[in-house]
This record gives sequence, C-alpha cells and structure tokens, in this order.
Amino acid sequence: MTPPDRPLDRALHESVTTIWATMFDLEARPFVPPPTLTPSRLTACVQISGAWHGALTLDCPDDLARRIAGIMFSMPAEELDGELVRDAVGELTNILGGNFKTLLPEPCSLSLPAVTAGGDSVFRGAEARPVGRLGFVAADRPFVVTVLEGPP
Amino acid sequence: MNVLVIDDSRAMRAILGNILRRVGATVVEAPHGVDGLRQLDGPTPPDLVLVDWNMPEMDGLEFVRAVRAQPRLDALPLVMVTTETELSRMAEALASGADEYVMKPFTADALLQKLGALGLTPAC
Repeated sequence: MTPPDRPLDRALHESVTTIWATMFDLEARPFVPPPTLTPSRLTACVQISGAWHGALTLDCPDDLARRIAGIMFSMPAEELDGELVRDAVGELTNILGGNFKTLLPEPCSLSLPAVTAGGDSVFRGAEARPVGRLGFVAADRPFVVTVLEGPP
Repeated sequence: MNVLVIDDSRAMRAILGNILRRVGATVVEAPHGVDGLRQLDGPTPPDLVLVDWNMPEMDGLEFVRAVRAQPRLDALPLVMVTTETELSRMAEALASGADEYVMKPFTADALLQKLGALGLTPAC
C-alpha cells in the first residue's frame, strides 16, 4: 500500500488525503490495487468542462458515507436520513473535483454534483475513458476515486 | 453577529453554521442566491454573508453582483466559500464586490482567521 507513482495519481492522492484529514480528521491511506466495492455504496460525480472535459467520481460504501455525513452534520450517523448522506457525499465530491481542477488547464468549470446509490453510473459520457483510479481506506473502509476523460 | 450562509449543500451549511454558532454567531441559511437575496430584503440585513460559488438558481458570483447593485448593501461584508481555485476567477469575484474568499476544504481556525482579518468577530 504505497503512494502512487504517476504525477496525476500523486496529485490526486495528496488532494484526497488532505481533504479527508481537514474535513474529517481521518487518515485516507492508499489501497492498491483499487478495491472492487459492493453494491451497497453511493457513487457521486462532478463533471468538468472547458479547456479539459471529463469527470471525477467517488465511490463510497454506505457505512463510510454515513460516517462522514455524521461528521459534516455534527450528528450521530444513525440519525441521518438518506438525503443528508447523499448531500454530504455530493459536497465531498464537489470539493474533490474543485481541488482536482487545479491540475487542469484553465478555464474549466464544475457541474453540480450528482449522487446515485447501488453502484449505478452517474457519468453518462459514452466515450469517456478512465485516466486515473485510486483506492483508499479510511476508518477501515475502502473507497475509490476515479478520473474520467471524455470528449466535449 | 448575524450571519447569512448561502450554499446549496446542506452539509456545508451545517459545517459553516456549527463553526459560527460555536463562537457565538446567529446563523440563518439559504440554499441558493435567489433565496439569499430574498433574505436581504428585510429591514435589518445580516452582519456578514458567506456564499458558495457553484449553486443552482443563482450562483455566488451573480449573488455578489446583485448585492453590490443595491446601495443600501454596499458595506455588507461578502465572503465567498468555494471550491473555485482559478486565480482569474477569484480576481473576478473580488472585482465584482466580494471582500474575501475561503477555499474548500477549510478548517474552523482558517475560516475564523479570514473573518478576523476582515475585522469580523462572530461573537460580537
């Protein structure tokens, strides 16, 4: 479980670990190779358009999503309804996307985040191709961040 | 101090609200710029507005421009709290009337330091 080699992966890794430490006081460690997650998860996506086109997605198991939502709302995780958990994961993905955007040529803009349950894809760019996929583990639960590059 | 927090994410409104309430501020919320403007229509505007950039209905930059178009709100402190990282966009926000910006993610200390640098102490 070593940090990634490629510059894009390194930058993404640094971004993810910083965000998780800052927002949740949780250590996000590399999980290599990226795990295959069960369907009991949320998938959130922000699309990026402008000088670069693509998307960033976050796949997060339900229990980890609920835990980070509890931190964001300062509420016991079991008291949160599904809408609040989806909102929290969407906002986290928005922040990940915003930080990822610093690696891209300007100008680029982010879409509002979209969140689905059960592993359904939320990025419909048919010709998009994955250019980065990183696995992490935080609070003993795995999660995956994927970068897709697609045509405008 | 009365603070209006405008963000389409309930989670981010909760984070900001909890930080500000812990230091004594009274916080009201709006999910987008249109609702934020509506809340500024009252006779007593808040002492500070924290506004996200990327929102439905009316985004943060449009909100800032709409506020600055109203002379009675000319001195209302506006701080953008945003994932926007392009310096040219930040310069555009400041030129449009934002007083400061805070990049997400942020710590409570970093947010309060930014507000302090503007002479804003939420406990007042």
